[in-house]
Amino acid sequence: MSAVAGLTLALVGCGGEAVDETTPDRLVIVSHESFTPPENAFEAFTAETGIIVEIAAAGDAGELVARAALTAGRPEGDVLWGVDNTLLTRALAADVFEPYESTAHPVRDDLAGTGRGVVTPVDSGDVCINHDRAALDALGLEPPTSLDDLVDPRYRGLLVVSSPETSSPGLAFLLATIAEFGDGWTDYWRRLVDNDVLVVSGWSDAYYAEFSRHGGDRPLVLSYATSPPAEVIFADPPLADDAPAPTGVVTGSCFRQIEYAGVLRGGDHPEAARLLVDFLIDPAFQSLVPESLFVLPATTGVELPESFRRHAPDIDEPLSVEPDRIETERENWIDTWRQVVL
Amino acid sequence: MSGLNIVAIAKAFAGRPVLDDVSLSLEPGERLALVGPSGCGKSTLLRIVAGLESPDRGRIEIDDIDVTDVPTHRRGVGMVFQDDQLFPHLDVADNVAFALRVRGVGRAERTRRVAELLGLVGLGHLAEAHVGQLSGGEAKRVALARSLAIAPRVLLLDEPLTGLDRERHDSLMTELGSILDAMGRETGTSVLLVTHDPAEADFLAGRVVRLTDRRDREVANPVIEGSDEPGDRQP
Amino acid sequence: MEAGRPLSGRARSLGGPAWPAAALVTLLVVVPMLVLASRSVRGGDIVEVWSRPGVGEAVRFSLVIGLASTFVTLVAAAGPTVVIGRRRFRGRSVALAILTAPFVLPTVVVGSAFLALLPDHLDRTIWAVLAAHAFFNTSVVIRQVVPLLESVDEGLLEAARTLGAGPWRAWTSVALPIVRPALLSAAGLVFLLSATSFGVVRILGGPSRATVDVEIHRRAVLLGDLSGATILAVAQTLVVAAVVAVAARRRPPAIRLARSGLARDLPLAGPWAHVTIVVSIAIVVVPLAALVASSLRVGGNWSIAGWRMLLGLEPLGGPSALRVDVAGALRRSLVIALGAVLLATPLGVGAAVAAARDSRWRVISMLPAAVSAIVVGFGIVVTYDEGFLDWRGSVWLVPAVHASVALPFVTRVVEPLVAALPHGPVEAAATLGANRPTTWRLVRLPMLRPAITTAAAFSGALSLGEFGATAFLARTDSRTLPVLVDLLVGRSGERPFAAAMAASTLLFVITFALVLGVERRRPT
Repeated sequence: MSAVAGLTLALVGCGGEAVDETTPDRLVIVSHESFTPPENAFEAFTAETGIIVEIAAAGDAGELVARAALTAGRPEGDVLWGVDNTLLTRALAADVFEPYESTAHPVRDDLAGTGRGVVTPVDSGDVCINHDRAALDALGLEPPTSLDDLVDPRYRGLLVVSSPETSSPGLAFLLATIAEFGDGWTDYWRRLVDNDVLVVSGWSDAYYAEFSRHGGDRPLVLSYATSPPAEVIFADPPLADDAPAPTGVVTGSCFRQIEYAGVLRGGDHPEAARLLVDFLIDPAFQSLVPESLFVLPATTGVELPESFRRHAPDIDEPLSVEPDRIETERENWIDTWRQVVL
Repeated sequence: MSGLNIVAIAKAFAGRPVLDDVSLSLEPGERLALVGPSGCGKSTLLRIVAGLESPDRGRIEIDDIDVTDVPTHRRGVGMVFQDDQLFPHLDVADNVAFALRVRGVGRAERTRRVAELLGLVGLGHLAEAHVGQLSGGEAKRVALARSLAIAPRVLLLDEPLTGLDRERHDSLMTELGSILDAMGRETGTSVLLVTHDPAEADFLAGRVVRLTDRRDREVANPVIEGSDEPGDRQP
Repeated sequence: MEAGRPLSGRARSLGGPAWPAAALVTLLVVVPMLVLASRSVRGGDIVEVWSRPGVGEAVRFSLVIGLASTFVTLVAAAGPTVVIGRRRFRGRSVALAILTAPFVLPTVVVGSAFLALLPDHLDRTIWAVLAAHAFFNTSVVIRQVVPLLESVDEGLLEAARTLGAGPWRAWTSVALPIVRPALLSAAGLVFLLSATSFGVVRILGGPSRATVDVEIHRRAVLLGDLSGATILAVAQTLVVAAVVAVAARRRPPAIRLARSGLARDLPLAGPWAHVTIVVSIAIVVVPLAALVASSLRVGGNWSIAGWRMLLGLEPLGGPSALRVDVAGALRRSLVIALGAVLLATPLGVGAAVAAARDSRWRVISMLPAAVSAIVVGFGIVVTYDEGFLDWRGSVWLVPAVHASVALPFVTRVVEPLVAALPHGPVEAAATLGANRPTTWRLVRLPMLRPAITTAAAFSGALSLGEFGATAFLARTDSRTLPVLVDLLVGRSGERPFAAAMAASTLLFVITFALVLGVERRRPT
């Protein structure tokens, strides 16, 4: 089928003139539902190129990549934002992207090159267990400091996480336990189950429905190292300027997630799409990223807002697993996890 | 008294009286025909005797027992319906054996009895036949055989020959007469039949009662209209 | 050769009028199935896929939910079926219409209604699923069994009583055997529908419960496990096809009921019968009322925000600002439904005409019914994905798929009427000089119009509510209303929920109006 298509296109292109791509009037970014830049985020891009940027969001990262795989070659948009390091190899295998790793602006050392020439790193976030200080105080408990603490009977029935099958931070947490405990990870999870861990399908269910800070029963939740600044920014009523963040992070539990953006293969306007990807690592856009998406910018030289400097801890040594190993073992790990937990 | 005793039966449907103080008696083994135009309550009376309707007033006695409040399936009254009502999902033999089956009679005994009954009505060769394949006359005979399976004390026949064309009517009437005679010799079954045809009534029954609209008479004694019939008289 | 007189003997029809329908079905059902089948063999995972956790559970759950739903449905349907089938009462036809209405409702509507009705701790459990299945499928039992039950002459039961059978015995030895074929066929259908349930299980089943259909969708769209999804899809289709084939072969000959000159009126209903009917109607009405009520609430308060969001007068809002175009989905669903009707009706009528002449052609239009909608959607997405045959996202694909799903219904409604067309008017037209096409246009089609209208209305209702295939084919910018409801219902938050309830209510109202409008016109 591809051969026929290729031949057809070649014949069309044989007219002699270069294929002249007209500038589109809009581009679509396909992303997961946590991609929520502010309204004016793309103004600068539109001013410069005349192209309006729209966002088509649905589901979480896992679903995003699966849908991209199903629509590879006939994509639902021009650019994809939100494939992360745990899902990257799956997207590559499904031939979702038109290879383009933008070098328009310098990215952090720890992220450079990780896009394998196919996608561009756009942000990183550390997936960690967060704790609700007030709730733990009320229970007379110190915050946990490591993964081991989570299976301590003191913290029984206090933890909620999302499922690695359906949630990208959930998968990150699973990988964190694998990185920390090696082959003993199944034992660890059995002990978590014995300690009455609650597993829900998505991060937002965990954070907004079950976390004690938002009306739920559980003071320990799987979220991001950048969630405490969010709690400060959105606190209602607002907190005093020098108050500590209401939530904190268990730094020993963090797994680094790197998010990428890429040009979707088969889109109508690959040239324009590349321009948009360049814009996504432009400091103008990246400076908006922390307080709207609650992740760390990928581009160097972007100053972090004060809320981050004060309330988001530096995670120097996050847990990690090599992407290739993730690709080969991910299915098995998830299936085994399912057997142990569900 | 034994036999069938209908005492002062009254029945109204939706305020309209259909039977008003009807009384009849049959000796065991006696054959009585009720004649009258349609709509004057003959079938209703039959249904009341069978227990398919309850009377507003009056009672039914069979062999001196008051069965007015006894449900149909315990009354021991056999009935041949005007439209036969053979069970379509059973063959002829199973139709005839139905009452025996309900009683829990064993298979060997059932087979024997079915053969006997089919022989009585002259249909032994049709035991395995499908009900839908029978002619009108054959169906009627199967219905009769079926109703005789447990030797009922009272047999009710609702317009047994209505709807048959002239030839079949006459031949079936003759056959029916013989079957009833043969049956009457063996058992003491009282037979109450209902028809609108006076000639049929005369032929088949020893006594004929005419039902007229609205005013129904008490009949204590034989024959109102001439009703000599060929064949055996009642014992 | 007149339409209506079936050909017998050697002469077989070429089935001309059925060719467009055949083309549609071949393209959208047969070819994808063949592609799936060939890929499943190539994958080499055939043995290993069954040991992937989740798969075994899905198969087991499908069987369990199928059996349990059948049982619950038969129990729930017993009362109303017997009362409607054996008793006269005022409002009988209204009761019948209400009790058989649930079947045509979209699965997302029923799922939403039960979500709205049930308290939180019950609403994502197996009980919710069973209740929803019983809600749907009671109408199947009633529809199939009542006609046969009505035809049991009361006189047969009376005869049985004069032969010594008490009321219960009379029922079991006379009425039940007559009704049994319909009962078995209804039970089989309910089982199949429940075991291949997708929308209901997805909305009401909770995260860890999956029938095979749900598992196929999960593997393909959530986990990206295409080989697993393929093997499951093929296996399920084979099993369903085998079951249907066996059932069709072993159907016992219908019992021909003896001619009865005096069909007596059914007895009047007593107090218990009335109670049964009232309770049954309440069971149908209550969840739907809960649905409508939920559409008018946000959180604990009365509000029309749900409806405003549906009509585009208010944005969805919410913690994760989901930019979802609810009004657009409504528009799209209506347009798609129109397209589906315009395609399905002529194609279905053509297939019906061919089938009336030569019943072999009935296969064409019945094929889509044998393959589950999920499998059709998955098959298409995986088959037509390259080069000039890459139809994913094409604007005509979804209406065409809906049309093929609707084909069996169109044919089933229209074919009996084509077969029964009287010859008189047609012959008269011929003597007046009308040729074939003219005769069709001026004589036969007008006579078929009631059936065609009914079929068109049903196709529209089906398309509006279609969820299984559309779940695969709809893209983020082209969602239909059912897909949107499913999305919103899965979100936490009161506003998305209210919008979902409003969308479901609208679907319910339109579908119900379509079907009711059609039933009323039927000169029964």
